[in-house]
Amino acid sequence: MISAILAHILLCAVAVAIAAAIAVPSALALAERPKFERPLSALLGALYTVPSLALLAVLVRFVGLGDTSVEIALVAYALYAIFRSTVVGIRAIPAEQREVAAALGLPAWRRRLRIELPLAMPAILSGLRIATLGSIALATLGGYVGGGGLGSIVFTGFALQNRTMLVEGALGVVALALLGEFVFRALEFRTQRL
Amino acid sequence: MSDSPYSVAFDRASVRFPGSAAPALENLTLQVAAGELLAIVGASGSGKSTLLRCVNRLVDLGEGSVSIDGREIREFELGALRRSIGYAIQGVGLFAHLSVAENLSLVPETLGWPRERTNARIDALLAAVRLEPTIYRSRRPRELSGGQAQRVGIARALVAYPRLLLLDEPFGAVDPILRPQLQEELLAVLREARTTTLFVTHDVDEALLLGNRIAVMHDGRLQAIGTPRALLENPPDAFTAELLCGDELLHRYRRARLDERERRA
Repeated sequence: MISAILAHILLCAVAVAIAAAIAVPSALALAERPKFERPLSALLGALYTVPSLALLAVLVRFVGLGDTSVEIALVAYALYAIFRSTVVGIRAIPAEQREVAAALGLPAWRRRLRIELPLAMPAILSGLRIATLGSIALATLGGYVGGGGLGSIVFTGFALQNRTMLVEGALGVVALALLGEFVFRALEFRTQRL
Repeated sequence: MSDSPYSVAFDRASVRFPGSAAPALENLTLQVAAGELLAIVGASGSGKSTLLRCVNRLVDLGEGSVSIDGREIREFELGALRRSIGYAIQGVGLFAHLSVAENLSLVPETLGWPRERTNARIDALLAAVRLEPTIYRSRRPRELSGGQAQRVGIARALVAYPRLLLLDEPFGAVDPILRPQLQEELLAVLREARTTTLFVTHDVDEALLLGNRIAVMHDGRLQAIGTPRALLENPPDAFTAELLCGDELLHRYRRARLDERERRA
């Protein structure tokens, strides 16, 4: 049980980290260029709307059963929430602040990292929270295609008609989701009261 | 320490914002000498802020040109141009997530100043705007009063020895009781800074107190320009007369204040 929880956490943490490493820099670079940002948002949004079981089925066909397929699916779903929330967070910076940032004449990436990223942080954190909660739920489904984590316990419980296993697995998922919610809410609260 | 102040020349500069019928700035021709403090007055919507923002290219001209030391501003590298120009605006110019010292070190960091030089400069400037460095360096913007935040904003605009200073209603959000004190401080700091200054305000008395010359903006056009004395004694048109001189009593009061300013200079 403990190892399943840790495996579940690892699956989700890696997925959210990879998705953030892709989505946050892209959003920082593209937030002021709607011409590029809009098609990327549309693409990620389309990916997000693909039913998760269908996506997993396709991935299993090409990547095979196991954690890798689940991980790819988790990243694909996490990208959208993180990308959109970062874009929205940057655009929500008051116009005066953005102008002053521009008027200082900082190089573009220094301006993004020192000014835009921290000011957009509450929105980015809420995107990470949504991505994390989604991942925790979706990773459970991954048990169906041979992924590790709490899903394997739930689906084994199904297969064996073992109610104890089922309930344990399900409670584990709920506990993780609540923990994730709590951690990110706490982080958001801290960044909001600068 | 600083390079020589910029001179600025507008040549038939026009700006039209998409979706608005009237131009924000129309056919503006104006020279500002190196080291001059030009006060720009007008109602809101008169184009005075747009005029300012053309110089650091927050707004790009539709027609005409703006030149600095005889060179068209579009020929400058944008970042370098902006780093050589200090800019301070009314209200929320400071970044909430950075301390006062961090707000002030953004440009020096970019210019690659050594840490000690930046720190020494920040301390000197905070002292110049009468904020005790040991207390205020580490303060966050939300821990400052309105007047203190404006002082920090002006210090930040001055930190990298700008050759031109653009101030857009820097005291607009400040308590009227505090304004005279801030105005005096600004004058003292500017005498030290040896820079050219464009100062936008809707407060005529502020313009009369601070400006070497005053430009009156009206509906995107330059209505009048001249020294405070010349505009006050011989307003060239009815609009300028109305704005600057007001009624008989106000006119006498302002002339008396100008006499006093000139006596003290």
